Amino acid sequence: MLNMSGMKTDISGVVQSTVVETFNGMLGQNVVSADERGGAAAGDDGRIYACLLLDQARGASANFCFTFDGKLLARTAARFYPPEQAREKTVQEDIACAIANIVGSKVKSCLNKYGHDFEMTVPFVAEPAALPFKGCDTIHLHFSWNDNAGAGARGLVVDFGMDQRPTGNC
Amino acid sequence: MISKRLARLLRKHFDAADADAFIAGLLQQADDDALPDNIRANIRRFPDFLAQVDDSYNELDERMRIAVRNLEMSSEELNNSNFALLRHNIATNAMMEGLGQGLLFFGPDGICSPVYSRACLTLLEGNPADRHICDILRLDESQRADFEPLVGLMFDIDSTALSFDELIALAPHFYKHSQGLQIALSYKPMHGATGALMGILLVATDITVKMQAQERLRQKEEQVLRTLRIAGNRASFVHALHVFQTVFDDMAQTRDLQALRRDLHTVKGMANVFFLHDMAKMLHEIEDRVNALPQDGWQSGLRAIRAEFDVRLGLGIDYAHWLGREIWGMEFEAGHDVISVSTAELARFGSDLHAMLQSGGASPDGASRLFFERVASQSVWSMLAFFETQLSYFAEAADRSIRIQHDSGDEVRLFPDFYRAFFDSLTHVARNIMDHAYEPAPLRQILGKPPELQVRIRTSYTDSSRTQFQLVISDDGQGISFDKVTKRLREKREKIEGRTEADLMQHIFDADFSTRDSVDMNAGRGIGMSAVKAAVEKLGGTLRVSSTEGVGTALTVVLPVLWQAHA
Amino acid sequence: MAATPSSPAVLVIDDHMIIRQVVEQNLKNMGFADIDTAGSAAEALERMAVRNYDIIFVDWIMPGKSGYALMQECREERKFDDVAFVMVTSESDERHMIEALKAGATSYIIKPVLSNVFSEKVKKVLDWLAKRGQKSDVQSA
Repeated sequence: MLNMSGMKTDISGVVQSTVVETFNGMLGQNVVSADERGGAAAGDDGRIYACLLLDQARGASANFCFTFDGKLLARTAARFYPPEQAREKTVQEDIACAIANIVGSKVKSCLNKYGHDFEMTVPFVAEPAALPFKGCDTIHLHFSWNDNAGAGARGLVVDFGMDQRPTGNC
Repeated sequence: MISKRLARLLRKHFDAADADAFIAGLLQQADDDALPDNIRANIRRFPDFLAQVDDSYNELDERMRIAVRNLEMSSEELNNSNFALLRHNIATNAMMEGLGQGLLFFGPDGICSPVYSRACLTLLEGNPADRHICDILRLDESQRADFEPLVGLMFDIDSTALSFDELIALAPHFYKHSQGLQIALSYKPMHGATGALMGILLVATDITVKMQAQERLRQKEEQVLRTLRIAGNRASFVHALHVFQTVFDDMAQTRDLQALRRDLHTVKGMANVFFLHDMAKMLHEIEDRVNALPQDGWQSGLRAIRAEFDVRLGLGIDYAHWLGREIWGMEFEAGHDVISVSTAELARFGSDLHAMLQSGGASPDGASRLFFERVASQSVWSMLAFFETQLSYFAEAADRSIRIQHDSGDEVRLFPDFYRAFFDSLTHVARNIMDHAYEPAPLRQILGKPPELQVRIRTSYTDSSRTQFQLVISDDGQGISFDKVTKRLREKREKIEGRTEADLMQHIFDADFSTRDSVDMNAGRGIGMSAVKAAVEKLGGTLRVSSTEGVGTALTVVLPVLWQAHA
Repeated sequence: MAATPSSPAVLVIDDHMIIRQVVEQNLKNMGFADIDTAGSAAEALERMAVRNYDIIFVDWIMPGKSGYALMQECREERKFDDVAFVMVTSESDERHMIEALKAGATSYIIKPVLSNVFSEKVKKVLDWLAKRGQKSDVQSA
C-alpha cells in the first residue's frame, strides 16, 4: 500500500524545482510555479503534449503528462536556433521531450528512494484526443511565464498520476 | 688547617692520629741536616701536595654536584614533557569522546588506523582498528563493489576530473545499525604536508533523536488536524462513535454478512475523514479478512476475526472517545442530538396547534406533521453537511479541486434520526465522485468544462403535499461508461437483451458491482452503492442513476418525509 | 595528434537537439572553438573514426546503443586513455554515478545543465587534460 501524502509533497517539490531549474537555469527563460488561478489560459492552438510512463515489475505504475504552451517553447527555441528553425514543430517537440525526460528522471529517482523500482519510458508526443491518462492524476501543477505582452501566461501544466494497480491504465 | 677528609686519609695510611701533629713532625724532620737535600725538599713539599689532593677532591665534589643538578633538571624537564603530552592526550581524547561521535581514519588500502574514538564501539558496533572500512560499515556485495573503487579514485584524485567532495557524495551516508539507531556518516579528507591525501576521517553521528523529534512533530501536526476536524463536526463525530461501536458489536452476532461488509466500509470512510488513520487501517485489514471468508460457515470465521481484533478495536474506540472528551468534556456524547428551535418558532407552533385543535380540523397526522415540520425537524442541508465535508476531504487528500453548489429548490425539513443510515451511506457517493467522475483539468478544458469538477446538490418536495422529497446529486465529470457496465454485466451473466440503457445502468447499485478492478484504501470494492440502495429501500424510497459518458452523472433519490419511525 | 590543450577538440553526443545546443553554447561561452555534435552512438563512432577528440560529452540513455556502452567500448582502447569522457545525464542516483566512474567517466554533469556548474566541471576536465598531457610528454621523452 502506498503512502501517498508524504510522497506527493516530495514529488510536487521535485517537479516544481526541476521545471524551474530546467527552464530558467538551463534554457534561460523566466518561468515560475503558479497558482492554478494565476495566468491566462494557453490558447488552443500550438499546444504540445509530452508524456512518459514509469513502470515497475511488481507494483504500481505512474505516468506524466506535460502540457506545454507552444509560444513558450517557441521563445525557448529562439534562444538556441535561428528564427525559422525555432518555429518548427519538431524543434519544439524535441524541447518538450527533453524537459519531460529531465523531470521524469528526477521524479523516478525520488520514487525509487521509497523502495520502488521504476523504469522510465522515453517521452513521447501525444495528440490531445489520444491522451491516455484520464481520471488518475494525483498531482496537478501549473507554471506560468511572462509572454511578450508582459502578462502572466500559463506556460506548462504538469499532471502526474500513480495508478495503484499492478497493470494497465485507469 | 687540614680538612677532615685529609686527616682521615693520613690516619688511614700513616697511622697519624693527629694530622696536624703528624705534618708538623714531618716538617721538623726536614730540618735535619743529615738528610740529603732532595729528600728534605720533598718533605717540605708534602703540605702543598696534601693541599692539591684536597683541591682535587673538592673539584670532584663540585663536579658531582653539578652533574647531579643537571640530572635533576633533565628529570624535571622530562617530567614536564610527559605531563604536557599526557594533558594533550587527555584533551584529544576528550575532544574525540566528547563529541559523542564515532571517529576513525582509513588510508588508501581502506584499513582503519588504531586511532579511533570510543563512540565507534557503540555507533559502529565494534572495534574498527585494523579492519577494512567495508567490513566496519557492513556493506553488502554490491555496495562494496561501489565503495572500493570510489576509495581508490579518492586517493588517486588525478585519475578523475571530480573533486573529493563530489566523489564523497557517492559514498554510503548511512550505517545500518542492528539495533535500529539512525547513524549518519560523513567524511573529511586528511591531507599531508605535501598536500596529497593521506587518509580519510569518517564521522559517524547518532541522529536517532533528531529523527524521532521529526516524527513526533509530524504526529503533532496530524493531531492538530484531527482535533480541528472533530471539533468542527460534533454531531457527525458522536454519531460516528456510535456507529463504530455498533459495527464492532455486530461482528459478534450479525446474520447478514453483506450488511456487515457495507457497514465496515462506511465506517472505514468515516474513520479516515476524522484522521483516525490507525483505526482506518485496522478496518481495512478487517475488511480484507471478512471478504476472504467462505460462503458457508462464515460465522465462526467472523467470530475469530473479531476475537483477534478485539483489543485493538477496543483501544481504537477508546481513543476516539478520549478525543471527544478532551475537546468537549466528559458528557460530550449526550446533548449532541439536540435540535435548536427558536422561541418564536415554538410560540408560533403553539398558537398554530391551538388554532388547529380549536377549529376541530385536527387529526393525529395533521398534528404530527405540524409538530415535525415546525419543531422537531432539521433542514436537510445540515444533514448533508457531513457529506460535503467528506467530499472536500477526499478531494483534498487526492489534491484535486471540486466545487460544490446548492441548487435552488425547497428547504426540505426532516427528522434526523430516521435518516441517519441513509445520510451515512452518502459517504460512498462522495467516494465514487472522487474516484470515477474526476478528470484532469487539461482534459476538462479541452471538453469546454470549467477546471474544477462541479458537484451540484438539489433538494425539493415532489409535490405540494410535502410527503415526499427528492435529492439530486449530480456532477459534470466523466460519467459512467455504458460499455464497461454491459461488459461487467456480461461477466456476471446478467440478461442484457431487450433492456434499455437507462434500465441497465441501475445495476451499478448491485452488491459486488464495480467497473474498477483496483482495491486500495479508498477506492470502491463495489459495495458502496449497494449500501446506499439498501438504506433508501429500507426507508421505502427509490433511487436512480443517470449518466452520459463525458458529460456527467446524476443520482436521484426519492424518499418519504417520515413523521413516525418505520417498523 | 589531438589539438593542443589551448583549443581542445570536443564532441557532444545526445539524442535531444536542444541538449546538444545547450552544451555547445556553454562551451562557446567558455571559449571553445572546435565543437562537433552527434545525435546517436552510431553517428559518434563515424565522427571518431575520422578524427581524434580531447573531450567527449556523452548522454547515458539514447535510442540504440547507450552512451554508457559507447564509453565502455572506447575505454577498452588505448587511444582513448588521454581522452576525457564527461557523462551528461538526468540520472542523479548515486549508483549510476559510480557505474559511470567505474566505466571510465572522467566527470559527469547532471541535467539540467546549469552554466556555472558546467564551467566549473569543464575547467576541472581541462586541468585533468593538462596533467595527462604532461604525463604523456614525460613518458614519450
